[in-house]
Amino acid sequence: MLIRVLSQRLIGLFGFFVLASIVIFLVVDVLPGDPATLMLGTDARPDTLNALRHQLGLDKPLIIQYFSWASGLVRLDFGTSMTYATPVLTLIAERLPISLPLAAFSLILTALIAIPFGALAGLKKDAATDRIIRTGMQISLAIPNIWLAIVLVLIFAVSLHWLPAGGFPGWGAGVWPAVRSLLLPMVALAVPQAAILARIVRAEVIDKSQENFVLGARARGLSDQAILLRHILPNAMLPVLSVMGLQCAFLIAGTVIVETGFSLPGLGRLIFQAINQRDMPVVKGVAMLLVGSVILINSVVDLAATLIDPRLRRRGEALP
Amino acid sequence: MSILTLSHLCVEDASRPILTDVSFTIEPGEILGLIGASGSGKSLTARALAGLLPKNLKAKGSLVFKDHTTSIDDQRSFAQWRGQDIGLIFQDPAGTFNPLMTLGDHVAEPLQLCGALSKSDARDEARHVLNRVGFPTDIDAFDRYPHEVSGGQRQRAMIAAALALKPRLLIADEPTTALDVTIEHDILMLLRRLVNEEGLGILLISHDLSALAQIADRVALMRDGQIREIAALPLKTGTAPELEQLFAMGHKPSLHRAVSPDHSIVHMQAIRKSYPLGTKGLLRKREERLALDDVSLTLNAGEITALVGESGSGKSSIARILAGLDHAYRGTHTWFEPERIGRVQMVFQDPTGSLNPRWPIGKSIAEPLANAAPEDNRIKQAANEVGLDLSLLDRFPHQLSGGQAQRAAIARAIIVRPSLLILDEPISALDFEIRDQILSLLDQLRAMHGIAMLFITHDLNAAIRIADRLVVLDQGRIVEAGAMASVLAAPAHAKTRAMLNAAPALTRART
Amino acid sequence: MTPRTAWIAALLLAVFIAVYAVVPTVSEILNRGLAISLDVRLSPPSHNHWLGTDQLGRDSLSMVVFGCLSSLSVALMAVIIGASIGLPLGLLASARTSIMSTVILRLNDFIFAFPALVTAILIHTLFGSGILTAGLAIGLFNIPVFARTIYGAARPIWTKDFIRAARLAGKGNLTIAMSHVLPLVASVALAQISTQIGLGILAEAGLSYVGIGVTPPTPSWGRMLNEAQTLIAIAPRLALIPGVAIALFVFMFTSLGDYLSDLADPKRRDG
Repeated sequence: MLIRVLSQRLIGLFGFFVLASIVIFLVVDVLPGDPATLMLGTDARPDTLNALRHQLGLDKPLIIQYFSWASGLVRLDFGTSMTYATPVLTLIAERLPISLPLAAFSLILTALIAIPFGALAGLKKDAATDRIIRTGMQISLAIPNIWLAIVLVLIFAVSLHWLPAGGFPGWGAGVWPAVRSLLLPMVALAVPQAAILARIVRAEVIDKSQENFVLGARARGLSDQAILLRHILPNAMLPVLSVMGLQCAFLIAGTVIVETGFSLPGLGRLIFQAINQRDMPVVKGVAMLLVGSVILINSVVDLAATLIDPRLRRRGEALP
Repeated sequence: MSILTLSHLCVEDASRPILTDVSFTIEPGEILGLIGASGSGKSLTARALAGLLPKNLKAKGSLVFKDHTTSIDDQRSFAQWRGQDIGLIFQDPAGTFNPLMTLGDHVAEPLQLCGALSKSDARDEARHVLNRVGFPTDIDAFDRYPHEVSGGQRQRAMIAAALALKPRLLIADEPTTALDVTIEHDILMLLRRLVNEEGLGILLISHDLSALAQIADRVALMRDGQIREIAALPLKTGTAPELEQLFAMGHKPSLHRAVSPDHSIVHMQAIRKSYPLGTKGLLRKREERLALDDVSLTLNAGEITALVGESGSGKSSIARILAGLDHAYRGTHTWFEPERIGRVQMVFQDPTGSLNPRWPIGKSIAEPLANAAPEDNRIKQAANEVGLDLSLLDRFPHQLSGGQAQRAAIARAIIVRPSLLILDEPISALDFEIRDQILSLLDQLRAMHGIAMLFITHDLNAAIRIADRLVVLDQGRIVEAGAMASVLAAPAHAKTRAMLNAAPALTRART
Repeated sequence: MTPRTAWIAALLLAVFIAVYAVVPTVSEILNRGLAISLDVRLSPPSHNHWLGTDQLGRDSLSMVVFGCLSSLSVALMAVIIGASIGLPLGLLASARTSIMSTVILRLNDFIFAFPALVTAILIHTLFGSGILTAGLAIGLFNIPVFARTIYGAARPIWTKDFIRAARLAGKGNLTIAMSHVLPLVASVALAQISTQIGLGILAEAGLSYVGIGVTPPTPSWGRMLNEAQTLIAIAPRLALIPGVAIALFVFMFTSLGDYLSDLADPKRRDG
């Protein structure tokens, strides 16, 4: 059963990767017209254009072009950047130590804020605590993370001078200085996402508190605390987990935007520079990386939910 | 010395009283049955006795339990007693289990958390308790999740969890309503055995008189939040007129007649049907479950055929195939009536769910008509035929009682004069007192319009009351078919005999 | 969401709509405010410029008002794209479990893997920046959002007995979808529309901020934030104004969406 589920997921995952690479290839390389002209401009000399086309392999049929790019992806070869003349993978690898921790820490922070507040609001449904938390969630959700970033900078960097306003000293400068410069972006990213997640946690806790198994647990004489920890929360966490998977898409996009706000040299800066310089191998590579990670994370979360939930793990047998 | 004495329990919400002056006692080794229609307040009484009343309700009254007199709203005492001294079981065993925990852990949980046993001791003791309630002894069942076992086994596990700490009182709220007759019988017998062997007292709440009649020592009748009568079983004539009347309704003479059918409506020949199990594999063949195996059946005009079987026996598959909502995998069905809209109509189990919640009743009734104005006479005529007050036609489903909604559903079904009317458990969701009215109505309609009816039920008593022919289905096969009288006189198949034995006869209650 | 908050949100919205209805009559004054005039740059709020001016001497009030138009048009475009494609897809997928619904649901998951930002970057390589790019990118992401919501709300309805009764009354899938299912999920769709407009405003701000949304000189809240950021120490006002405007509008639309979905879900309303 488990092997079957796994193999199905792997096939689906592979299919999605292939489909995503085709979409990205079509949109970036095929639809806009001749990439060489786009890169060099319309007034470029024909022989320079031809040389570039040959260098990029554009004189080959589309199918061949796609396969040479896609087979590169499989070997983690994303091509070579036009502006830096460096492998795209190297460029990404330089940026990942900023973007990856930023996204991961933000996700953790999101959960750390959302689960206690959401659960508390759900348990105290309609009481003052609940109303305050809900209003807070509603407002946090409405705040654009870039604006939150600016306000945080205004308070903690410009006024209080506690934290840097932007830039990144690199992990080589020590863990603390590096983490310090990631703190504000992390908060700016996490707060709006936490608001979304907390709403789900609250709704799930309320929903699960009304389930009959809570009544059953009370009938067996369990205390309120035991019921919350052993019955309500575990059941509420399953849907919360899958929402967190979906949030990764927003966090990844948010990371790219917030990095720009804090002038962090991460993937965000890389891709926006690449767009402006029409450095298509980099655009393709980073887009594939972002989409690929969303697909991967969602499959992993899906699989985790399957493994945790016995209803999905083992099929019910209709016994007489 | 009584286990529990409840005196003058009153419960009210903000606007009105819900329970008024409810008093009774429960003796050791006694089962007190509590019967009443839905909304009569019997479940609320059970909740009050466990200190589990909803917070928005106000309760007054006192009880004597464990030589201790206390007020009914004394949450602290109840928190101590619940699980330890008072056990509870509910109607829906699937819903009252945490889907992420095994059955064994559910039983071990109170032993570990309230009984202060170590984890392994609690598990050993849980196995022992499961054994005591007749749960299969193998370890596999202990480690199973709630969705992996049958309803009867879940109910056994729930009883085990409720009895783990050896309470003196067990409150059983409709414990067998969701179960098949043979399993209902087993569970009721288990409760009786526990009472006899361990001196437990049970408050058994049901809307099903026949279930109570099988095992209760005394029965209390509840109506509109009040106890109307309490009487010992068997009833003595003249002591409890309302209960007597109820019991009398349970064994009205059968309506079936030996009609010589004038013509056949439809004939099913060698129908097979199977359903895929689980998700489809990409490369491997699907596993399938055979739902119907070589089923042949003829339905005649003006005749009521009862299709009886336990859940999963394939009753609903037959209904869906006949109605054209599903296709048979193999076999044919031949109609002797011309194809037209409304040739087959259906009435479903849940009357409210079978009506669009946003549509006024009149609109729902008129749905099968091709073009009907809201004032169409056919709507009024149909409503009159089913005894539905015309003023209800403008109402919405949630404003109707279950019985009224079911009449509306029947009106929708007969408005196009179907050749065949399929009734899928049409009275199972209704209160005891309304069931017979609906059965009589169906009988009248059959006589009036000569409709062929297929009456699908798990309730053998209802089938006996109304049907002319009986077809018994077991695991997708027809194991018994024939005129009602002859089948009852000489049931041929073991399954039929088992169901007849388990069918809660009301003999014990007869005076 | 309490009814009172929803009413306040609705009222505010009505006021804003009323203001924009009269925008043509005052547009001349506001338009004049958009002109670059370097001699009044970075002036604090005054009688002439109620909210002051920015680094190019443009009137901040004019910028915020016209920025709203960009934001709303992107968000509306995105919702129209998302709802007009996602809603029928979700309804279609809910009708029965067949290859069709599997394909639709998988396709949904697939589009969901493209964050609006990535889509915007990809579309940017085709069309460059602009309202169209932003609206299209957010709209594409909205498709699976609507499809999922409608599918989730409609799927349980299809298994109800009154749908079976409707089939026995001779109705086909399409008739049943229109007469039974759609009216029952309409309130859910309406709630989702309101919420997605709010989230669309947020997304537009993000895209314009990084320069792949609305292009200058068209005023946009996201761009205003971007330009204000370098002046944060000198004129924090410039960053606060568009931020508050975004938060207010998003708050109004999402609150309204919440309230509508509470109305649509009786379980959450009573329970």
